[in-house]
Amino acid sequence: MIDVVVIGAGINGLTAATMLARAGLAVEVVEARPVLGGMAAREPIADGYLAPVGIYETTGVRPWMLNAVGIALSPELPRLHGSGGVVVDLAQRRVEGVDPTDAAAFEDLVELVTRIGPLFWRLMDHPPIDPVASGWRSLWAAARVGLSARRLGFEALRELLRAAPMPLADFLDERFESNALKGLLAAEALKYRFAGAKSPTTALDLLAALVYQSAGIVPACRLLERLVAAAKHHELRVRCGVRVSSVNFDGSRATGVTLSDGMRIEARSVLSTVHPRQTLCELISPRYLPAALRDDLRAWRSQGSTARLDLVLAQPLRDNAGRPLSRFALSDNLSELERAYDQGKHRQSTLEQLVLTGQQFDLDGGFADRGHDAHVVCLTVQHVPSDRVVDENALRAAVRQRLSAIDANLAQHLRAERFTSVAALAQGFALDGGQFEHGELSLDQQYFMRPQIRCASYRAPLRGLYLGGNGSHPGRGFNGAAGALAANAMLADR
Amino acid sequence: MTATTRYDAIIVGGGHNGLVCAAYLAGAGRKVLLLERRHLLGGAAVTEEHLAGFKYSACSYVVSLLRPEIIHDLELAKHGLSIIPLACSFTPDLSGPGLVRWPDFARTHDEISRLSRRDADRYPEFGKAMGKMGDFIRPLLMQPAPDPTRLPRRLGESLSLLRRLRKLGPRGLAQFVQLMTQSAVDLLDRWFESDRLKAPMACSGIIGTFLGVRSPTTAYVLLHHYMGEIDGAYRAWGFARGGTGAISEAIASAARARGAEILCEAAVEKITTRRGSARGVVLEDGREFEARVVISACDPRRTFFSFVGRDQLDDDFVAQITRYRYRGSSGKVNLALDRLPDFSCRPGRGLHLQGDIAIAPSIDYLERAYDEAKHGAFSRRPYINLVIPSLTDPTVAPPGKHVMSAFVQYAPYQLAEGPAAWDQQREAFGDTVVETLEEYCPGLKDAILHRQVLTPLDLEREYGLTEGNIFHGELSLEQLLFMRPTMGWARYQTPIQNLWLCASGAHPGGGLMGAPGALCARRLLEEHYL
Ligand SMILES: Cc1cc2nc3c(=O)[nH]c(=O)nc-3n(C[C@H](O)[C@H](O)[C@H](O)COP(=O)(O)OP(=O)(O)OC[C@H]3O[C@@H](n4cnc5c(N)ncnc54)[C@H](O)[C@@H]3O)c2cc1C
Ligand SMILES: Cc1cc2nc3c(=O)[nH]c(=O)nc-3n(C[C@H](O)[C@H](O)[C@H](O)COP(=O)(O)OP(=O)(O)OC[C@H]3O[C@@H](n4cnc5c(N)ncnc54)[C@H](O)[C@@H]3O)c2cc1C
Repeated sequence: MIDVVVIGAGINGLTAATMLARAGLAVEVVEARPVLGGMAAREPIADGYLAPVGIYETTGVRPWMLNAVGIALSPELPRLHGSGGVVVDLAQRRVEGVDPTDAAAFEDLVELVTRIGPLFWRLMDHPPIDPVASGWRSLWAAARVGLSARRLGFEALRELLRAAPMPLADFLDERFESNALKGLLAAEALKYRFAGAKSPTTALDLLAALVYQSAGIVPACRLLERLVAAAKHHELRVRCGVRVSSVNFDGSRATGVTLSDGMRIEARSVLSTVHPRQTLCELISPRYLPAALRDDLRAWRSQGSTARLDLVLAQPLRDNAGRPLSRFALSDNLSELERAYDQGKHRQSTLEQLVLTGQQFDLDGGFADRGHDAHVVCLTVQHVPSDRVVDENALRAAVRQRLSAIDANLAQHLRAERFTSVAALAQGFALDGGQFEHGELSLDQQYFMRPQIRCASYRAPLRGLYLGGNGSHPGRGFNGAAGALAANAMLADR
Repeated sequence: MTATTRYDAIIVGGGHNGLVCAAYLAGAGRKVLLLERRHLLGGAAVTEEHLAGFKYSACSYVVSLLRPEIIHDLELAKHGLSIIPLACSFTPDLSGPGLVRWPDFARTHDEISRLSRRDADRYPEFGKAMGKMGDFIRPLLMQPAPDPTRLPRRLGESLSLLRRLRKLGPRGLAQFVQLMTQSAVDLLDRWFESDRLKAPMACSGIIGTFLGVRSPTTAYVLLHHYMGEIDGAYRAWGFARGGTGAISEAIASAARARGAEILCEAAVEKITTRRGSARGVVLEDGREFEARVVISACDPRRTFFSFVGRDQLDDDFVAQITRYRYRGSSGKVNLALDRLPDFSCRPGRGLHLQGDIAIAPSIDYLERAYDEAKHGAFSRRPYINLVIPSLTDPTVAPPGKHVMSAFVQYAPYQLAEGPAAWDQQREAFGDTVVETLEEYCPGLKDAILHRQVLTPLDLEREYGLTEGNIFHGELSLEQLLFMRPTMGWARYQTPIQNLWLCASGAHPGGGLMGAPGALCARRLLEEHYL
């Protein structure tokens, strides 16, 4: 009998498991795939080249999380290239390539982001407040959120309350003239959302993205490496290549898991980082779960529409000044972005509009296992929902065509290419629809609604079962926060 | 001409909210003058006759949200108001019998069962759930918006709201959050499977908004339309006998009976101020009037930028009012008909024609209508909400003849070519509407004796609805409650002392509700501003 089984060895699972092991618990991790890392795990693109199939970058890594697992990392403030020479530079807190009015407006926006940062972190670094709980503890938590909100001051609070339900397009149109800047910011903010810039509540995605990015970005594989090292250091037991087929209960609480090979692991608690509907509806016998909760989970939206494409290039993509590009977004304006969304929404199979965001890595990022002078570009491609019929070759060609705006000779530099459709992501990672964050980050699926109002505290309504994947709060940024908060909840219950 | 009498209150605009406000203030013994620009009262709630004997409810055509307490307080029945409930909601179809939803659940069950047995069973439950949410929200419609950012001053209000929220329980609270943030389609998807049922239901979520049925937050607008009541009957919509204008006339009559003075063809040009305080108005024809308070029943932009002037206001407030969004998205086509239209899916004259009729064949149809508008064109196949009031109320058309009112979305104020292009596109828009209808009722075209086409530009020019927005500003979350029209100024008061707002640009917003007018009057009186 061990203390905890952690299901899934993604970033959340490894974070949670390491924290629990550090607290002295006997922990075992079970991972369905043959390797550690979940969607951040690197897999071969072509002979000698590796890249993550899913996640290539991590935002919002917080010092408290790193401390909790005992690792060090220094996130960098990104430079983000857009069309027409527009560059957003968060280190310098400014934007290049736009007229002075837009540049000043961008500084105001960064100022706003700085102002609201503390409130965001108060919300993101802590479990969601429970709006129906009584008792001093929850009142205190609510009061602290209230105080952080008040500390914003009238103007910033007004901006935030006004922005939260707004469409991003309106938010941007109020501030900026430059179409390229608006397109760039919207593409970056919405790259994992199945939403257009004219969808209400998307302005919040930009604010969240900017707050997260202002805390710095780390290549996901770097965070993963450190986590794996920490896990090894704590002699965490990890079982790869075998699926959990059920979570077991004895009527009153979780007693462990059964694996697909029939083996049982007895444990006092189970922490799942798998998609919440998978965990609660597939891994648990229906008789343990209230029917109403199953109904509500059925309505959980996690239809992805972002596919991934990885390229290996002999020559790096370069900016106008000839420097190798790092992060970039190709979206010339908001209406182009909106049309891309319309096409996805209506499941059209034409590929007239695509929104691309990506990052280029050189090889010391660990993307090759032998010394090639090549570069790996990881791309997100929107909107191609899994149930939309597209010709994969046509899609690749359309992406290459779009990239030729950066490099006209791309075809000559291209060594290898790997396309991962939303369906493949959904399949490979039990994502149930293919939304990377285990559930659309729309306003109705955040905070105490994530993944359901009765299990937002990381505790499933079944004793001994905890939910610590991105389907739990905060569910943003692929940084292990949900796993860490779930581990804290479990430790608090002991 | 200068004023000889000084009034207690001048109300600018004779829409139904202005009239309600006037009636309450006059009823409390205040000396009130109401000024209306047009030759008739009612604003967007008017009856107009363009062809002899045919009475159009030019803009607003059905009523449900009008607060029962107002009907009661102002004794509107005594002043001639009579509301006839709609018989049903009919959704015609091009292939199949269409769907009729009746107030009688058993009958509706039979109808929906043809589409889905499961949906038919769940339909009453849905009504109950919405009713529960409606019960929760409804009190907010008759009180100033609680402002959680004004703690601790408004602690009491916010706490009582919080207490009521918690009383909903976890599931109820989750439903509430979903209602406030989800799309109408998300909400309906949880309940129903049949597209043909969901489509007409989703429409309530887009009326008056520039959003699609799949846009987040439209679930709230849907609820807003579910909140109405006639004589306590939940979700009941009805016609006012004599056309919508009869409502305004009844309120005006109540106001006059209480001593309010009402002038038509009295267009206000300026609200005059002295040392930051409103003191009166100047009309376009030069007449001037003075009062202790000036109450604007026009929308915020018109009030502050046209009547008061940006130079009288601080920059921050000007910025907030500039950002307050309108972008009308609706048009209206009124038809005088030689004979009753015949719907091919349910031919003949029947009770099904005495309700509202939605051209909303599928969710996708509605979403595509929105997509076109989003990119700057009116919908080639629009969503249409039709009524034929002459079937229920014979006073609005000559014997044997009919009037038909078609509320149409989307007709974006901002066309790709700019709003002025509506003058060139008006007839094309009217044709689109008629042709869409002709598909469902062949022969309609030939029965048309007269048609009135109202584009958003017409709504702005003729009825004073800025950017053609039917609600005096979008009913989007960031423009509701304590943020309507802007945070800090959601209690009918304005930064100009003695200038108040009493119409749809204030909480709780647009629709034939009367609530802003009544709430503004109540605050003025109860807090002794007047
Ligand atoms: C294309 C794409 C790009 C993305 N890019 C970024 C990015 O650049 N930056 C960012 O911040 N976020 C990104 N995301 C979002 C990110 O993926 C999520 O935030 C993240 O996946 C959540 O991490 P996790 O550990 O909760 O889940 P996962 O990484 O999905 O981990 C869950 C693990 O559990 C395993 N598992 C599933 N079922 C079982 C079972 N029955 N038994 C045992 N194991 C099981 C899975 O194989 C997986 O390894 C991206 C997502 C995708 C799909
Ligand atoms: C086409 C259409 C259909 C609608 N359908 C419905 C419906 O079926 N049901 C429903 O509940 N709601 C409906 N509505 C919405 C509803 O009619 C309005 O929200 C509501 O009538 C607004 O009332 P109000 O008193 O706030 O403002 P208004 O009615 O707009 O009143 C403002 C008044 O101010 C006057 N004014 C403007 N400028 C001046 C000036 N310079 N001097 C003096 N007076 C001036 C205007 O002429 C007008 O009379 C509809 C609206 C439209 C346009």
